Amino acid sequence: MIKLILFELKKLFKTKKLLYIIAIITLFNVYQYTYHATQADEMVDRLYEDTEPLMSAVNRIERDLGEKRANQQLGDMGLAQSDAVKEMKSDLQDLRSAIYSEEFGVAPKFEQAFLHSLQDYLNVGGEFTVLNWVGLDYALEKNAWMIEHDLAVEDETYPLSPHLFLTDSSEWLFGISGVILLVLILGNILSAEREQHTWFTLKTQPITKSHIILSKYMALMLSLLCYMLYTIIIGILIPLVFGDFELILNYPHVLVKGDEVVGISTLHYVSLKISLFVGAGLIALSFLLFISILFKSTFNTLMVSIFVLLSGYFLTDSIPAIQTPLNIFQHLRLDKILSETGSDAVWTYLLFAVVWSAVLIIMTLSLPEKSGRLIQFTTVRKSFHSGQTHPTKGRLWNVVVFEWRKLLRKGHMINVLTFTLIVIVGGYFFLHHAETKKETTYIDGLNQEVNGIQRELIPIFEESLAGYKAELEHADDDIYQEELHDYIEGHEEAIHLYQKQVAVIQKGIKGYESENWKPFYEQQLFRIKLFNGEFDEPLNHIGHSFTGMEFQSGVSLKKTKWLMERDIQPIFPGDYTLTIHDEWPGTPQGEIARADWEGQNHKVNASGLYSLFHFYEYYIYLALIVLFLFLLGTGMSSERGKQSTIHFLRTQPISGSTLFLGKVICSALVVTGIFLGVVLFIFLLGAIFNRLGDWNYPILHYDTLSESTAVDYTGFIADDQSYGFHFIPLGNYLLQCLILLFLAAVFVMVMANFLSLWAKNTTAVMTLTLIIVIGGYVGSIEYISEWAYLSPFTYLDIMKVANGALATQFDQSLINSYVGSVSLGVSALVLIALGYVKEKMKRKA
Amino acid sequence: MVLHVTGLNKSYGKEKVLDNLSFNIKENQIVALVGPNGSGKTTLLNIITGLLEADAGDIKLFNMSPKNPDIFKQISYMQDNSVLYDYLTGYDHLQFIGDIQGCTKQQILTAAERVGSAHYLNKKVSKYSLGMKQHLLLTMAILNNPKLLIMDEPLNGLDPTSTIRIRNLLLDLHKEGTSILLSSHNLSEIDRVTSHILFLKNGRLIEEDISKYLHALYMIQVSHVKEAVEALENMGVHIDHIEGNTVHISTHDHSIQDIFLKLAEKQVDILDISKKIAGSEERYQTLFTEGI
Repeated sequence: MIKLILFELKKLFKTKKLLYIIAIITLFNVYQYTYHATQADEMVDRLYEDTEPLMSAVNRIERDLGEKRANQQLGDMGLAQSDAVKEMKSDLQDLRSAIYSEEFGVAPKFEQAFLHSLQDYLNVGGEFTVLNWVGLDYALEKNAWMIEHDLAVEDETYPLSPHLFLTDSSEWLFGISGVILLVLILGNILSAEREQHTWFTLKTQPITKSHIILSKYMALMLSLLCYMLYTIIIGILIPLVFGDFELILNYPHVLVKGDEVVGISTLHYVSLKISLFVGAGLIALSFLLFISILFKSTFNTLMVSIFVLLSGYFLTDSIPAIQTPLNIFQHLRLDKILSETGSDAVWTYLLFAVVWSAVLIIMTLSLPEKSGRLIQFTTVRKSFHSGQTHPTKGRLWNVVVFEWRKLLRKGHMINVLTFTLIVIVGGYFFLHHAETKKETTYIDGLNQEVNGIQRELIPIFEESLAGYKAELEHADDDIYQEELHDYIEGHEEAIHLYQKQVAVIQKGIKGYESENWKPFYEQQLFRIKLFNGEFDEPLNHIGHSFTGMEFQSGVSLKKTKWLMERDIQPIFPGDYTLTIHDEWPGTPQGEIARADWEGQNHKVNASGLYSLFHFYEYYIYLALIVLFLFLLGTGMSSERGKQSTIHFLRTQPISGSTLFLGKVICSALVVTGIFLGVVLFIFLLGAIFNRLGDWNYPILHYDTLSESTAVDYTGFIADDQSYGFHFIPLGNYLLQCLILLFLAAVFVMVMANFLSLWAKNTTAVMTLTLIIVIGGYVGSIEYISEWAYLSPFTYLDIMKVANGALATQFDQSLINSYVGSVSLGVSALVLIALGYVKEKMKRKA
Repeated sequence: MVLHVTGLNKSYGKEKVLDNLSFNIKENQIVALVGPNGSGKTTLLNIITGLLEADAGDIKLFNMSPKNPDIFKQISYMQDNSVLYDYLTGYDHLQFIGDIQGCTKQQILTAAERVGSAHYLNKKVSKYSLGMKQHLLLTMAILNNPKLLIMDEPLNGLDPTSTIRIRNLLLDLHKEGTSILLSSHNLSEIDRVTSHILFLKNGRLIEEDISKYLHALYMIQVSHVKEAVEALENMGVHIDHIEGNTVHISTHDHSIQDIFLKLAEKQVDILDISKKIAGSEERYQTLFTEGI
């Protein structure tokens, strides 16, 4: 058995699998570290800015209490609050100056002082919404740990110290992405043997099938171990070698589980992540072996494995009831388990993962190997075009046709398309369900709001009003009488406004029910204005303070007006449109509030046109490009495998350049055709089972600072904002996206085909292409953002190009769909020309 | 000149595989390339067809460089079965060649009939036996009616019936004017189609016309051994050895009819007779196995 395991490891080593793993982990860590290093100079600014919301809140409270104190309106409690706030302000200023002067070692002590004075303030009945109890407990727990272990504040956003860098990289490498990476790289351990018939060599040795599979399982486990060890080593080594930080394994990491806040050391945190990752790895790799015994082809094995694992992951993620260790896919939710279950549950998870893995392996051992196909083809196939030949059509066209026929005969394309269609249909039902739920929730919310106002708020105000009026009759003091008059007037206005709100909402609901959208949008406008605090004093207590959300507010108002003017059917939920300019506090509370707000306002719709919007919004097109890359991007490398079919092609009267061109044209045509089909299918599915959608539905387009501040700017600018915006009809937006999609897909296929002229095997081509594409995108937007408009990689983020988000981010108005189309098209043509010339030169040489 | 090779050199690292090789193939000539495994036969054929680069030397096929893809309108290269697409049918391969080479459906079917591959062309290659793949490769190779047919181990994996069929096909093609360069380990089959052999030894070529080594080996079972031996010795026939009542002889000059007549004169009855042609095998043994 040991010899078998060693043999398996030798094969993994010889096929460079371990090398690929090492290369990817190294590249990832080097990139992360380099990027963090570029952000190090801004650490002080960032930490300082993080305290800004606290300072603003403290100042506001101090001002309010100060005014009341001056007017002698404060009781004992108010006075105590006022004193505590002064203390808070002083401590916070100390903390900020410690940060500003880079005295990170003493910063925790000042933070401790601030938190204590904050607690004092809260204890005397003060309210401090910037840090709710979770945020406060989090800060207290972390601060206590820092003080206890005498630790200095570090940059946790872009960490450079070994302990924080390891924690940061482990979020990716010990997450679901790490599991998928391992499945992709090690995925053919069994199927390759079956494909290449070496399986028979093994089976005709005096060893049992169980021994073979168990040895492969053990080899996979050892590879998993190597992966984890190397991730830890490189994660510590890079910052140690290139940075000035020590490894502090007891640096705190705070876990928030519901109401509980627990501080643990980095060592503890990383070991918990590793334990969970071991569990997920055990399950994923056992599942891979199980699928490998059912499917002979590596392509099908990988596709089915990843599809099932990811589907299970997302399904589990969306249904809380099945988030238990009994569910095999729950183990893949590595980024959520700790925060949802706490550290105590990790061992239970590991135990269940071992059991699941054992069950899968036993099933693998007990099943006879099958040559499963996703779609069963007979081995006898009719010839294309009744067997007629077309010599007159030219060699290039003949090569293109041959490549197309190969695609059809291989069967992978049919499998991929079938899977894609299944995903789209599943996605449609998910969207439809979400749309219905959000629509119902929104309308129910309106009804509840009306009930709440009518049954609770108005009676309360009326009761108070009656009280004030009764008090007024007995009041002798002039000042008191004046105060009571103000209260009465305010309450009457409030009641009047509440009644108006009820009437507007009720009219809106009726309008919605009768598909008369104008009253519906009128109630939305009313509510937006109300939330923005645009009404006078009496209703301030039901309005929201929208600091940092002015852009969103301005956009939402204009968008609602656009919808009303054009009588467009509403899309739910919420009254607001989320934007890239929204500012949320970087605190845990801020994150929770942001997620909550996004949940309330993120529009979901299953109509034909809006489904396509989601297709780009959720980056589904990128997943498909990667999938089709495996199908269409192997180029020349697919001819150089064990079957050296390249020799067959090279001994025909076709030049290498024609072969290259033929492959490129075929993959470009097919990928364009497939995407056209996919887009049409999504559209038709929505159009038939839901509704067509509105061509003129407004899609927010961000305008850059330069555009917005230009004299001839014609877009909208929200109050107190520098950035402008305008709307483009959904249909136009989708057309721009479609053109970018075609060109982006063609560009990626051309690049893969181009690389296949050098890379010997398909794995190398795929890896190289993905590295270049990801590296190109990151490089374009991070390092050469001034020239990002020239880079074709920038335009792979189709949605952000078409809605101007990227252009606004870099104040580079040239990043738009038109320049993108040219950049992608020209880049593809240049790569084709280079490949063509390379093949020409090869022949001449 | 069909093929003209001058001063060809090829090394893999420090190992010299082909050392200054020069040879020609004239029109309508069948030339066999013989050498032990790993002697560089496939390397030589791959260089001739432009699949591999030589380190030095010059190759002309019909006065054209092998790097010119148009040369494959005049020549064909039958390689090993690793060049076939497992997931395509045999007909898919032929249809592509037909498209590229300008052949009609009828020509494809005729070529397939001639080789004997027609009845399984619509099956996927992954379902073919080794012999079926060889048939398909040969069909692909002859589809463009090449003037020079280069074949790497064409008889690999063929049963006796197929071997005879392919041998006859090669002889027919030769009659039609096709030149053939083939590598093979089957020396007795080579002897049946050509006497022009290129022995590849230690990277060098030894070009031989082995017709002078061609002789027949007979095993004759006779009624009277002593009389038979006497008669044969008188004729000048070389007796290899005697095994029971079977006399093993080899002859280069005498026909079997002469031997029959002489034995009949001596009242010797022939009970059984079998024949084997000896030629390249003896020469091969001399070149490659002597001294081992």
